[in-house]
Amino acid sequence: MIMQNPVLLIAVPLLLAFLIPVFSSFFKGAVRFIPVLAGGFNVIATALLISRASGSVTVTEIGGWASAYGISLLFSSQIGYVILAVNLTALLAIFYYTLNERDLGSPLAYPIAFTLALSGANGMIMTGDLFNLFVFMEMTAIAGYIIAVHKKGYLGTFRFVVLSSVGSALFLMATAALYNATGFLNMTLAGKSLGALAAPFISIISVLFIMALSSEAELLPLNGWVAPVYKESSGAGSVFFASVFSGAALFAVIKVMLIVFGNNYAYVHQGLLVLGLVTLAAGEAAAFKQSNLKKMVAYSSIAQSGLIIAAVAAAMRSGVLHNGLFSAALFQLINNILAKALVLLGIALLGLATLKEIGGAGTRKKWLGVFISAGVLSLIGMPGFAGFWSKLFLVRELVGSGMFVFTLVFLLAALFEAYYYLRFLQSLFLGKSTTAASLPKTSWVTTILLFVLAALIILIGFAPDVIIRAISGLSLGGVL
Amino acid sequence: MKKVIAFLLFLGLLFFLGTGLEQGLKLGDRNTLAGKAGEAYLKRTVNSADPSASPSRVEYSSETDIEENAANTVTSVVVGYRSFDTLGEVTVLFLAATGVMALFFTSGKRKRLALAKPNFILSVSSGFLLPLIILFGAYVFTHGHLTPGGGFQGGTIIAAAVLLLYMAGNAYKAPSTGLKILEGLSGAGYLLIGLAGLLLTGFFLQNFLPQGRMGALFSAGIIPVVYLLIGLKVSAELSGIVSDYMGED
Amino acid sequence: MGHEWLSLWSFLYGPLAIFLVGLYGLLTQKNLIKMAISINIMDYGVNLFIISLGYVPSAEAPIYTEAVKTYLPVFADPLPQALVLTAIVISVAVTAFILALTIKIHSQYGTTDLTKLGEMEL
Repeated sequence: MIMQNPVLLIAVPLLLAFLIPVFSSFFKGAVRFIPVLAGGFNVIATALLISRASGSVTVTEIGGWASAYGISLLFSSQIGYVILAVNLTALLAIFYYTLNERDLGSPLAYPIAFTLALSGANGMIMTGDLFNLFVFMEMTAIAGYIIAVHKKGYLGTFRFVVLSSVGSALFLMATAALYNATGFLNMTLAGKSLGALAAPFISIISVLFIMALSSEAELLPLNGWVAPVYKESSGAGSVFFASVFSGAALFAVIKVMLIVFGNNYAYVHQGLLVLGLVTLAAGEAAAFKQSNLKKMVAYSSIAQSGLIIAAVAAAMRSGVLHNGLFSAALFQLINNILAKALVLLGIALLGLATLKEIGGAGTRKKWLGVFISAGVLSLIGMPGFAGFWSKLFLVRELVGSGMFVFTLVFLLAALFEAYYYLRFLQSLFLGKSTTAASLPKTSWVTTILLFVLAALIILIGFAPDVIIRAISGLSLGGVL
Repeated sequence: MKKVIAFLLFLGLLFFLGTGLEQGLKLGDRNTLAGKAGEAYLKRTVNSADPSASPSRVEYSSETDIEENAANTVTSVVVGYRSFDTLGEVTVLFLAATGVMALFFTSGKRKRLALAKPNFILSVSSGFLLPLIILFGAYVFTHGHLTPGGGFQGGTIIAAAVLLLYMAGNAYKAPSTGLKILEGLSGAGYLLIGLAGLLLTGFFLQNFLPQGRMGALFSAGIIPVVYLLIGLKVSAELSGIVSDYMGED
Repeated sequence: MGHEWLSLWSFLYGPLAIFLVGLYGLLTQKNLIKMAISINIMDYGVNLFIISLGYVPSAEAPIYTEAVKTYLPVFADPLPQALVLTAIVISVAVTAFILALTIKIHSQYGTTDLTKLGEMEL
């Protein structure tokens, strides 16, 4: 009974993180295992929760207070799969940190930062209260600042702090205004009372919310920090940004749009649709020109965030939620979380920065090359990998709803992506190395981590039915 | 040129945001509590059938089985009804202290920041002001449920005392390991209270201790305990940040 | 009429103007410390805005004391006050971090001027 409570996904890592300073004074050696313990517990607990969950949303009231006045957490099997993807990639990033990057910075601060980032991301995904979302957003943001300076990338982090602070101030303003106008901070109730208010007010509030969340979700306009921070981040750090933070923040945007602005605000959703498509186009164009690997993945990540938001906005633009399009967007989100983690871990293991430098590295380290390819091919949408199904599902739903412009932009973007990612693979396997540096050795444990992610991606690629059914209630036959 | 554009943006946003928000907000004299969450918090009827209609049974220093029996309603909101937010806030401060530690971390020895020699008034008065400041800070956080104040405010006052110590004489060094342990234990304590609520009543952070009489020092269930822990935690954290800035290890 | 105008200006446009001054500072200032101060000004503006949204005419402070023993419908709204409490703490946390970051930037690059840092970056 107790184990069924989703609060544990937030509370247990929090408790472990608070105990880290205590442990570091008494059992110094134990500190390195605590983030792993937190991540492992979360993955197992999420799996258990999913097995007991259904498609409908269960509300957990914190403190036993009625959810209209207190804080509540939302969980369902759909939400559970997003949480599972986020926690699994976080656990793998934590493993990577524990094995390879513990000497990069303070050995006390980083276990705390990673564990609390995990807790905050889960909070952002599950909370049903606007101010609680703000608090968890700040928690993940500050954990993000610490993770961003892991390899002393001070200037990029400064930009991140500035943009993120603007975002959070806007969010706070919007939340307070919404409370004053509707009397509630609970998302569902605020959304219900919104109907009585004037349209200009609603538009401004929605713009404020989107701008605020756009910072962490890697959308325009506040995403100028993404490329510099990715470039200077550590391996585990880049995975946290690409998979954990952006996944949680995107889901938070989706949640706010769906619950608060769900009923019939076509102008809000259409504005968001345009924003998403512009982000998609800008991201792909920027990635196309990049020769720095991590920056390339950063811009690709921005583009994918734009795509997912645009798809969700399209699903809601007619006022009634289009289940197929919404589920396709969620599926794409989950696949991106997994694939980006794999690609970024692989790049971190290579230890090289630009396209020219990695020439031929894939032939020297064959397993690493294979794993990176699995991630890249999934991102492009190659059959046999998870990304194929999510892209197919998306195209089918878009065409089915008559959104031809969107489909066109999507296909063009997919072409761009295929070009620069295949260029990456070409350089990886067929290029000639311009540096004589020997590649760092990869321990077998790290190899197993990458194997797990790659296997998962291929598994979903060959048997996507389980996930599709859980996310949308449709089966594979319904998708094709 | 850039400043002109920024200024125009300032005026434009002021006009645009202001007129838009004006249409939905209930400002100044138009604002009432009717039907809002604030009303239910004040009446202590959150878990009743109809919070805005139920009569409030609150009576200072008489009634004993009211929902959240802290006399200070803001405290009962912060640590009672919305305790989860406060848990997040405590974690945010913890992260800030960790972040400052991560930034100033070096593997070698650190040099302490040299401050100007304190003048006579400072060094003498800090001697007798210090216990008063700490006492006041402790008063503020133990009485958070009765008067304005609470853990965060009291903790900041105590951290100001530590800053005073640093500024008044160059020989003081804050015990950083002790502070970190205090920080960690009080934070863990807050979570354990929450988990105890989960085990005993099935709800995380339920107020499971007896509520007592409103206005008494020992009232409001877990609220004074939580604020005590928060007070200790915040003072340890902010003192830790001060000592990190001063260049201590 | 004057009363209405006054409350509009002091409760909405005033705090909004303070927030936008902070934003203006972020857009135009070149010194990192001034940018940190601008972020603080933005946060002050937002906090003032939130508190002024809790104003109820002729209100009592939302604390039960010997003088105010039972519920009155003219208590000030406690929720915005609780929100601001949390928001102030969060803004302190961010300020502590950003100032430490500025110190590290200065110790690594020798300057806190954004234009000079931009040249160094390239």
